Amino acid sequence: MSAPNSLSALSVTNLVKNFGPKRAVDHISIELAPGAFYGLLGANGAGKTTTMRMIAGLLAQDLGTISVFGKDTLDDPRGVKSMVAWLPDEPLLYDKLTALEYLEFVCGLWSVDRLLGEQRAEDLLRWLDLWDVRDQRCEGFSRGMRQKTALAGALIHDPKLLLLDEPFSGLDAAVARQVKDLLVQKTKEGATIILTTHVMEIAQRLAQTIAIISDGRILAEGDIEHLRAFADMPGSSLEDVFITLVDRQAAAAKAASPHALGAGWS
Amino acid sequence: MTQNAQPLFARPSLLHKPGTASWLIRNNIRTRLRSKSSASRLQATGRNIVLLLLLGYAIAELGGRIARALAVLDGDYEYPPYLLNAGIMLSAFAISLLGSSLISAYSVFTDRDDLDLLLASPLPPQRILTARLLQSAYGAALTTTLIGTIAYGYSIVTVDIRFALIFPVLMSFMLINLAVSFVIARCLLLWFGLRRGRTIAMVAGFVVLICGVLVFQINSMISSQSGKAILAETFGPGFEPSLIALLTPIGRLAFGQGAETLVLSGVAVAVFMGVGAFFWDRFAADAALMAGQSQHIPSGRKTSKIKFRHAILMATIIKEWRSMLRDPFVMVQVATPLVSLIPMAIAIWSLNQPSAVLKGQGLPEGTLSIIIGFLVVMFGGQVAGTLAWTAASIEEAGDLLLSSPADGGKLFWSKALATAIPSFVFLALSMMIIGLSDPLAALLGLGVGSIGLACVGAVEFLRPRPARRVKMTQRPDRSVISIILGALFSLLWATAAAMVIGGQGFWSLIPMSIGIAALIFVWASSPKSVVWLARSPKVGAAGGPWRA
Repeated sequence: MSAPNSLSALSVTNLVKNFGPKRAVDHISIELAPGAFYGLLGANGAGKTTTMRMIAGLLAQDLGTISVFGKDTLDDPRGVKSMVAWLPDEPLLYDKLTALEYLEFVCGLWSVDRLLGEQRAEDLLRWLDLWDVRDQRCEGFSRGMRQKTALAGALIHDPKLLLLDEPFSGLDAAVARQVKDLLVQKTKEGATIILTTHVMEIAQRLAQTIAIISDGRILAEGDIEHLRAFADMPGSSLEDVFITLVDRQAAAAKAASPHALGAGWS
Repeated sequence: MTQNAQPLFARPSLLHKPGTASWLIRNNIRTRLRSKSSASRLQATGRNIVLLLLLGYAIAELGGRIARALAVLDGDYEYPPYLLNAGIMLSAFAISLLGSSLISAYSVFTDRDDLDLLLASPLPPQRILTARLLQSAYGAALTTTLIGTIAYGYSIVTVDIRFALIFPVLMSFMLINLAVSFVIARCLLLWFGLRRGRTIAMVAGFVVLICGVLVFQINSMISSQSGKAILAETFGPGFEPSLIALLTPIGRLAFGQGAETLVLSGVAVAVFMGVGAFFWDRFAADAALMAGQSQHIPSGRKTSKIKFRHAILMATIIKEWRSMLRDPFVMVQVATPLVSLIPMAIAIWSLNQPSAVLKGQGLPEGTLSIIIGFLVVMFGGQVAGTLAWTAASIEEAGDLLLSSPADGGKLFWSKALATAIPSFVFLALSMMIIGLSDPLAALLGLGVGSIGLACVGAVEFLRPRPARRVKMTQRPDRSVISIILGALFSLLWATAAAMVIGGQGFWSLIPMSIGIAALIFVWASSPKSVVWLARSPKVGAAGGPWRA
């Protein structure tokens, strides 16, 4: 097992997680430099969220090590968490709190200085067009507003590592553009971002490095040109590359138990 | 697909043909039944039994009044005239029923669970409305049948069919009650929007229900000039005449005067159908409002300046209090035991009046403090349990807490304090009443009561049951074991508090010892894999969030 690189923003080595007999994550290793934008692509149940939850400190790994800016998640979980923000695919807000009250609570959790928190809250709410609804309860928010409020909560403590699980699901084009711009801005400021998404265009446009994950293993990793070369599909779209690689991985299993559509489908 | 495989879908029955209102109702009832855990089903059954007992009690009491009034008119009854009294009682009962049905009517009318799916299907929106109205009518019929069981039973015992014939009369009243409830529910939806309308419906329904009960009881006590009137006349020698007297006039109406019954039933059905027809063409617009396509925007909403509190302890306490205070369901659950104290307090007060003492019905000296102490700890325990349950089991953003560097101990204690402070304030204020006559007893009662409330709260924190706030009104997920344990602890510590207040300090050690031993047992047997934060099954594992 290699020692974590203290210069890395994130160093994941041979990560393994089992849920009963099922191996959800199978010896995954990731190495990210500060300011990197990393895209994790995979089908449902491929192991993306489990990996992210382990990095965020929500799940303990069975094997392997995770280190964030040189701090090990097992040795110093609170130190790691103070640098990390986790945004799950389903934004879990407090329905009975207003957007402002929610941000206030998050500042309390991360011990953000009161005046600094107020300034950041105003900046984020204005940036995300939530300023006018800051005193409305989250229960009345649309999906996009909820996602943006949760994103403001993830950014208000100025994390060094952002873990975003499907942050664009359910967002309309305008809101998605806002969020994309904000994320790019954060990487320019030095934040490291790991993003999972099903939308290939988003991964291709935003991420410098893309990893394709299937059955808990990383099948390929690199920029788009590297992935095309790996799949031996020059000039193909990321979607084609992704499907081909995943299909190759699953081909044996599919052959063993085929499920053809019946005659009811014309 | 194999040729001889069983069909995937059940064959449509004649009654529930796909797409019909009855099919929608069946689907709704089936999904609701299946969505409930066995514990909450048991809870619901228990609640229904208690409700039925209360209704039976109220009906028996009310029946006595009506019977006497009617009998006096007939001139064959020796009781004094009670006509006005009976009218007030009947009104109070009807008001209570209206309050309770308003809550359920709003819930059924504005149910959004599958609204989008249904509206997206080719079914006409009116059929969805029909299913909802009929589903409520079905519920009313079920309740009526259950209440009518008393009459059926009596009919069998007395071999007198009149008692069984009250069903159409009761059902008619229920239908009219439902129709009025639906009209009010729709008005609330239109005037206040979906969420505020729900809050207002719940609060108003609860207040109206309690008002009805209070009017009922206070009127009973005033008219009989005795705090013991209800118990004495209901379960004493007057019970049977009361029951017979309630049922006889209604039975007579159904049996001897069929035309009137028919007219009443016809009017009820017409009113109900009239409401349905009124809603018929408006439902599509109402559904759009429910689905948020035309959001009701409250006017005059104030905006606040940003002012953050820094400390995590205070921030979490404030967050919990905000969530509780803004949740009508929690407030109703908290208010119920507190409001239940009012009639008891009135009864105790009346028994302590000089007139009652002169009549030999008064309480011995010091008994009042003991009773108050017992009741306050008992009901305070229920409040503490409910608040602790919401704080321990309902955590909407568990991932947020777990991914933060905040100290788990601080979060835990801030949640515990958020639930303990209101219960303690209630206890302290109540004990001040005792303190007016005996400060030492009040102080001791406060001490013992505080430990009791802490024990009840601890049960909920030791046995959390993850639940979602948005689903609470439809599917309370509270652990039935925790409810039973909470009631047990409340009883034990209320007994101990009453004994301490009554000067039996030594003997109070017995319930206190049992209470402490039981808490240790609960702690030892609590599932260690689950900690107080919901949605965090892996917390506590090696390297988990709180074990740094």
